[in-house]
Amino acid sequence: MFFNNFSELMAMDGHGAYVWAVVLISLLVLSSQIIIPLGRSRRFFVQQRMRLRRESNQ
Amino acid sequence: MWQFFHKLGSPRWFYEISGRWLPWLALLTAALLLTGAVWGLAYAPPDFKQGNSFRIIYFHVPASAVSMACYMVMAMAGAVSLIWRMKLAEVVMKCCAPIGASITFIALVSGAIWGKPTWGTWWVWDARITSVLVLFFLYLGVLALYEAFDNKEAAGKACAVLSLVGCVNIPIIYWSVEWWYSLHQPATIKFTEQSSMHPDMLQPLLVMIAGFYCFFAVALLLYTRSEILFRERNTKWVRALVEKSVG
Amino acid sequence: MHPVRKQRLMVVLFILFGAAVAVALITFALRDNINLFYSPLEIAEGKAPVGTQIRAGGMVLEGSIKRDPNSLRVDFIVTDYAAQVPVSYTGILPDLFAEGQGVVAAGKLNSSGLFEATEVLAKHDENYMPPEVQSAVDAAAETLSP
Repeated sequence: MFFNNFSELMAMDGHGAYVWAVVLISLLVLSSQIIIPLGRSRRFFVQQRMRLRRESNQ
Repeated sequence: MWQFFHKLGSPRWFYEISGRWLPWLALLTAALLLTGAVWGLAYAPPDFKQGNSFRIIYFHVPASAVSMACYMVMAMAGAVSLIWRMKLAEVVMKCCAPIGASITFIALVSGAIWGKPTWGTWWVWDARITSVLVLFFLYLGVLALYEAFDNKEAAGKACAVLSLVGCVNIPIIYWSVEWWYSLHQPATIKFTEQSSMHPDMLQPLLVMIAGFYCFFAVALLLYTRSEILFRERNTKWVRALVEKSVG
Repeated sequence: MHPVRKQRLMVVLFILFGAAVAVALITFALRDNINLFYSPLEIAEGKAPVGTQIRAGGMVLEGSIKRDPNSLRVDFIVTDYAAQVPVSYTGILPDLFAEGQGVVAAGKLNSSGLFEATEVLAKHDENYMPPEVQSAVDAAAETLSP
């Protein structure tokens, strides 16, 4: 590793706030693009199951 | 070849085959992004002028590259949906917009955060930065335009035309730093000559770029699959899937 | 190809072509405004307006930086190796500001040809190099040069 310890990796010679802000924002935005479509599919199955149940009860 | 093309147009076939690819592709994406990020952030040497702030490149450049590639995919899918009226192409076009907007957002924000310690400003209205902002608004425009129509067939056509017109922006983004005086530096990775970056720094960057491309593929598959389910909700095969999911 | 599809393909190509021509004309008409800054040569030729807010960009000439010991005032010369523009600036400079480094200064050109900057931005190039490699390159360059 280039850095001697964890706190040096966090600090990055004073640029830590910039670098880690980018990492954090990227992580949040990228994971949103996985969670949103997965959630949509899951909600679809839940709703359709309810619809099927309603239809079979009639 | 034509048979493959016809199969590709079948949502059911696409749903089944993409379900088989997804786990492997997701695994590959996670491995590439994790390797690239750890390598780039912790192991790559710092830059002789910028020090450690240059590490933002490991997110900025891949996001910028994929933001443009995603647009080309969206425009090509739009063209295919216009010419061949292929439903799947229209779905892919629609699904590119939220992913493209997110990744362009990462490119813009990481660029602004990188600009502060190196240039001395968050934002400057130079040709490169402004044209990427236009790209961001094009994605938002496609998203908004699609929602504005009640008739989804008309919405698809309008979005395809908008994404085709917006195509003109892509070469402008790419060559903006060479055609005009700008604050943004020219491209580091060149296709025709050697990259102006030390190999120790370039290798993790290439891993990250590959990771972002794979991420785009995974997100696109996930969005497309959920949209296919919704559109085909009254077909036999989707009903069978729903019934199976009960157990 | 089916004639209907061929027709649609022509429509798609027409959209692309039309948009390209329109944007090319717009960017050609606005080319002076799209440039972020004036080069020292353009300023020397009198192409840049005097007394209005503009930007000047180029390299900081080696050995031209003069810092005022009593204030934050800095004087330096921006060059594109064809012409030179003297710049004065009072304020905090970005970390990357150095001799031989690219800069973009925003401010006004006064009548005597001095560029009074209100903001100085560092412009960096596309080369990335680890520090020890760069010092090795510099050392090699020194031994090679007479």
